[in-house]
Amino acid sequence: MSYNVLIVDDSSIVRSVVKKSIGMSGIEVAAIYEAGNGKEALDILNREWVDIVFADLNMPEMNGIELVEKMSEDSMLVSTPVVIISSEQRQDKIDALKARGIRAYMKKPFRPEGFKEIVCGILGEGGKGNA
Amino acid sequence: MPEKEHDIRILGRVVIEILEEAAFLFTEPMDENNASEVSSEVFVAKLGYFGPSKGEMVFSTPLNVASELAANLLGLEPDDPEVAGKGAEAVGEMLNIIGGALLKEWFGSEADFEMGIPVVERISGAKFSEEAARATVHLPLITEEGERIDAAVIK
Repeated sequence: MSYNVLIVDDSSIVRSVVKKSIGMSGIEVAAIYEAGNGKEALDILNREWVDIVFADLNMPEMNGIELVEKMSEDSMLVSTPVVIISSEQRQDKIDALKARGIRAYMKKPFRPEGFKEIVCGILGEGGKGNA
Repeated sequence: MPEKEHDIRILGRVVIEILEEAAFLFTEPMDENNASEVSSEVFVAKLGYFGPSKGEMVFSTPLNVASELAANLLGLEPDDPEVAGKGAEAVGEMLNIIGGALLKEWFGSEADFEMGIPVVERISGAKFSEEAARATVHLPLITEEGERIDAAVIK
């Protein structure tokens, strides 16, 4: 019933806000991992079980689109749900990400209240986690 | 038809809305001719973009306003230890959010455009004023507390 969450954003402020929003969503969290870019995220994903990923798009070293592509190419990561949280508003990029299988796209600035609906929709209220 | 990037009203509307929505900071435009000088050090964030045209977006606040932005974004009191040292990052993140909204306003969501990653530096008010003088569009704003914030586009 507890979930492992990975938050990927080069802004520590955004990572803190996402953490708080997850807390407000009512989902029981076993562990929260944080990464400043896609490369750090992949390192975490390769050594820890993660139930859901929240990722920005515009990040140094490896951006969110590259991260989603790498995850989709890895049989161990392809089914891990990804929620993109970004200031990006280009429709073709959003459509391409959805075609790649992201579970949701949240535009910045986001309302913490909106998190509950998205997180519960993906993980399910009272659903089983893997931790 | 004038480029939308040159339209100070679009810049003003987007910046004011984002500051309110994301950071609960209420501002209004200052008359650039009567704007107070930028006397103190500021954090200035710059964000390059390219698409139907290219340029750089600029967003700047005094250091104390940057701390207030960080506190508001984090939902904490300004003197909370977690807020300390986060002012520059807050200014960068605000420009990141503003940038996404501005590009959509200027070019539409179907256009081919790219946005970079904000770069933030701390500079003197005098140096900022010199740089702002080169802006294609420059909008000084004032907060409810009388603090000056600046937004600009350089083409």
